[in-house]
Amino acid sequence: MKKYWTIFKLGIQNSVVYRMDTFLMFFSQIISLIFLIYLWLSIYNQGGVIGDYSLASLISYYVLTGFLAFTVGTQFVSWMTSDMIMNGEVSNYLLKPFNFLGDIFFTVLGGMVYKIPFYLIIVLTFLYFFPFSFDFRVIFYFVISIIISILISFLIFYSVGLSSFYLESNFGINALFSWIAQLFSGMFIPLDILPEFFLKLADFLPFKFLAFVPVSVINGRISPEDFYIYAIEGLIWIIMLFYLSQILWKRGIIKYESYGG
Amino acid sequence: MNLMAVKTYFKIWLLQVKNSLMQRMSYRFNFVVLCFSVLVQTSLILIFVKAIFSFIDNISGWSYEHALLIAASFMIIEGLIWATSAYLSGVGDSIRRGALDQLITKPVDTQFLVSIWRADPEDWIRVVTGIIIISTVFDKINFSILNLLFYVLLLFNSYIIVYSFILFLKTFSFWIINNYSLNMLADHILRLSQYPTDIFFHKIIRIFFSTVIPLAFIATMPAKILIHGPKLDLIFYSCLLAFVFFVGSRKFFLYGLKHYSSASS
Repeated sequence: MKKYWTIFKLGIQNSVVYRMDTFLMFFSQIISLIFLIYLWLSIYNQGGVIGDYSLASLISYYVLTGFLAFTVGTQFVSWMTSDMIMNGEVSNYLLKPFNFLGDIFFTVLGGMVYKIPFYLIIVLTFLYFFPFSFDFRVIFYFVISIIISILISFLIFYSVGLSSFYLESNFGINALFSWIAQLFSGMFIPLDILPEFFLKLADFLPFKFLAFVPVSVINGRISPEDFYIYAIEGLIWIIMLFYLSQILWKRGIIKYESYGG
Repeated sequence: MNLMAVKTYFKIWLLQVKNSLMQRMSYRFNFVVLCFSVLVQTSLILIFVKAIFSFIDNISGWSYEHALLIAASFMIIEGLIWATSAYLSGVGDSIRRGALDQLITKPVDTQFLVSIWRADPEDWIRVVTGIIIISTVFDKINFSILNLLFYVLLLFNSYIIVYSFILFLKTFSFWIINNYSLNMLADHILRLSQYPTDIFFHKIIRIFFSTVIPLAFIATMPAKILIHGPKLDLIFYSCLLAFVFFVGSRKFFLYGLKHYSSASS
């Protein structure tokens, strides 16, 4: 485990090296958030109401999904994994006592830790204008749901990246899954205001755990009693995706031919 | 630039388009999936607009059909930018990989070469989808050929503004080698123009998004012209902004080029 702790620290250091990158991504999130706040303000100011969301709950929804997208979002893992396979870097993992999945996971985790303080500025600003009273039990469930979100998100995009073993170019698959995740995770729009068809479809897919479930836990749309059902469903998805990624890795490594390594 | 030079540049562009298409078609399955992913991405904004308008009947005076016009106008511009220059990915890539060494020695304008370095043919789907959406709402707007002509003119200006804005941001690649965040920044900002910019009720913000980052002139203003007919002041500002942004971004690119140090040699 000590070696993964080192990888985790290297992940943080790597993010510090590209701090301008992190700052620009943070700035992108702020601009998008300001725009969305204006959109909802203009709708609510003219008397409109979106679903059963109040203005504060809709803004808090986008503040929190922005937090999840910026800090714990792992869509880039599919591109990262693909690049490592295509460039022949995988050969290193066949020779060294490092687990490929473990290395990528702890590198990504290090990057997440570095980004959290950035976004806390936005969360604290929001809490100043829209103060909430939190139940500690809800915060505990929120943290659990974020851990489930990280694991499911990581395993989905890691598995998508592993498709590079089987395809000459998986650029399209990576892009497709990114956009599908945007829609069915609730990052783009709350799932419960989508048309019925999309809502039912989203319920069958694991993407809802990426954003909609964690945000619904903290804004009270998922009660602590119902949370157990979601947590069990999330765990089942984690186990299934983990086994899928292991199968893709084991079969992929047989097909693998190192080109650049 | 004489007519002969224009013809040469056009031929080079055609050749690059052909090369990009051949590259894509060499991985057919990937190309089909990419086309599908573009369709999914395009449908996101339509689902968003549909979902919002199932609860309200207008956003800052824009009805459902009018909001669709803005989204469709953005689709056309975004599609054209990707299909002709792949969001200027050639700027960052050629700097990072040191490939710019080869380009600056060619007897062709370097900005032109890096702009057309890659083209994504699957993104013509966005353009076609945008045109189809506009044609479906023709009966809901005060359509006339004159409005359409000025709409096309403003879309042309939008293309110049978007191109120049991306070029301006990508030019920072001369100093920031890891340019993933520059792509993200450009995409996050420009994507906001698919919503009506009239939502900004604070005057200072509205001026900011009409001049410094002219989101209003990317899709909202062209849609306004198509719906309400030509307004001379809007057309004048649109042409002026396109000119200022193009000249400004070119000057900044040439300034950045002077600071280029090869990554490979």
